[in-house]
Amino acid sequence: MKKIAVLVMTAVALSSAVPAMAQMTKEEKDQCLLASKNCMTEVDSIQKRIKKLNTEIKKGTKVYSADEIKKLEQKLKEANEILSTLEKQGGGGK
Amino acid sequence: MRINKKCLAVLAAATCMAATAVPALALENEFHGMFRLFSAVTNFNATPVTDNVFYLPEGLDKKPDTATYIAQRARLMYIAKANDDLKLVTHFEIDSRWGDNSYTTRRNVGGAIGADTVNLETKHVYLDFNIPKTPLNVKLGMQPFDDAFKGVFVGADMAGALASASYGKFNSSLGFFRFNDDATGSVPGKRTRDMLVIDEKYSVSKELKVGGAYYLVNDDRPTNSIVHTLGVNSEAVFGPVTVDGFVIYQFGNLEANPANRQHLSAFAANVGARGKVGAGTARTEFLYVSGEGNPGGRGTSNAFQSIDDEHGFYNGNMQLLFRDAYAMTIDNAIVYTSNNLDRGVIAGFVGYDMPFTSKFSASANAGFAAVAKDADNRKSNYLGTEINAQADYKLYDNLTATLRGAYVILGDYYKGVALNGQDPENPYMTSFMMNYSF
Repeated sequence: MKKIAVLVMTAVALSSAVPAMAQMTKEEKDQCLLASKNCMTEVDSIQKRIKKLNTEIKKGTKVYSADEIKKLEQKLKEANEILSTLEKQGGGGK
Repeated sequence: MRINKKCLAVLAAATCMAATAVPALALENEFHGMFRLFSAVTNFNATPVTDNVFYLPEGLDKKPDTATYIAQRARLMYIAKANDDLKLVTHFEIDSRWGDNSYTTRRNVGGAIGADTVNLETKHVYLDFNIPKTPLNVKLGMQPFDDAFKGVFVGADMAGALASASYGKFNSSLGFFRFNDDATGSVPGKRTRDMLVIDEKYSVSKELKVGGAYYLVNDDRPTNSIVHTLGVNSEAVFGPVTVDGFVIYQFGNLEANPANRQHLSAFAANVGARGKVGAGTARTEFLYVSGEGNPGGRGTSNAFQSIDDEHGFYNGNMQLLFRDAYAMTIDNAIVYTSNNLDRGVIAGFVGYDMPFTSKFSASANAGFAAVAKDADNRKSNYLGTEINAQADYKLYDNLTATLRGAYVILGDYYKGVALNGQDPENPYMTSFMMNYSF
């Protein structure tokens, strides 16, 4: 029983470590250091996010359910609102 | 004992699994922002003729000095997202003009040598959440709010609560905002200026949307003014052309001057259209805002009551005639507010946007404006005509370089108003911008 428990725990521990190991092998160059690409902490810019959402919404009901498309459309609306808020005019005040 | 060991092993495994599951429960940190560099050569912005944000060349040298300046703005947004239904939104701004000041504590400066200025402005701090098992979304706190009428009434950051719900073809909003609470010599909540918002939108079909909005602004600060703003709006798609517009009526009591309390009866109307023409997009807008020919002199005022200068009509894509959408701290215009110093405005605009390549695009615009009512016995109501153009080049997806030029041919409203009865020089501006957002 003890052995089984140790095995289970090892398997779980290893599974959580996989993403970090998958980032880079010995042969690969570290593109994160070299060109600020494929960094583990990299996040999408708002423009990239809008582009991705549009691409996914275009896939339509072949890939997503009607509810999921609605959710993606809501996220697209939010992303567009963030961009327009950032670029909104005014704010100088007197 | 055997059972206890089994329990311990299961517990340990469960603990490990729970530990690996933590990231899914963690907060999502979202950062966004923008940076704009704005440089200009102009005889309009930041010169004596626009000292009071409006263009007021009366009694001044007909030829203002040429201003050249470089200003910059950064906005940083941090969103703490617990999940899709709950987030805290914060948004900050840092403005300065190169060389303006340093080692100080003031907004909109910090561009002089040494920098080191406390100049961080807080634009938004609000909680945005959905009520479970309902279609209701609530925003609580200092947030951006835009009216349903292309910004002719109000479009600003303000503290309040806004509840919105989408159900079927309807979209409803109900809100309360506190513009001011002047507690000096009083207590909080007594001398306030508040706004109540009711907004309804209905999608008749994919091609036709109609809506209505009611804004009640109650001002208890000096006296007790009350302004009701009631309007309808619509947007319809006819093939490649989209047409939209609104009609607003305002009524209430203006009591800022206790010696002359007035009734209010004012209105504004707009129609706009845009559509594909050739490889580009053509745009047109028409705007009418009522004015008062005898401000303060009658029992009823027809001057449209827009909220201070906390709004702007930007759909005409003007740079000098109306407020410039890219202006930052230095922000001037001939028609700076819809109220337009109680004179109202009649204006029309046409424009064309042309994408030449995926990186290079350009647009050209023309617009005219006149006061709706002239209280100063000028030679004409006609303020002027602006022509402008801009070229945009995308260095990256989110970095654009823009070159612009604008020129206004002044109308007879300004004939002979400069020093010694001379005509003021026609305003112009050339500007260059770099815009980055992420």
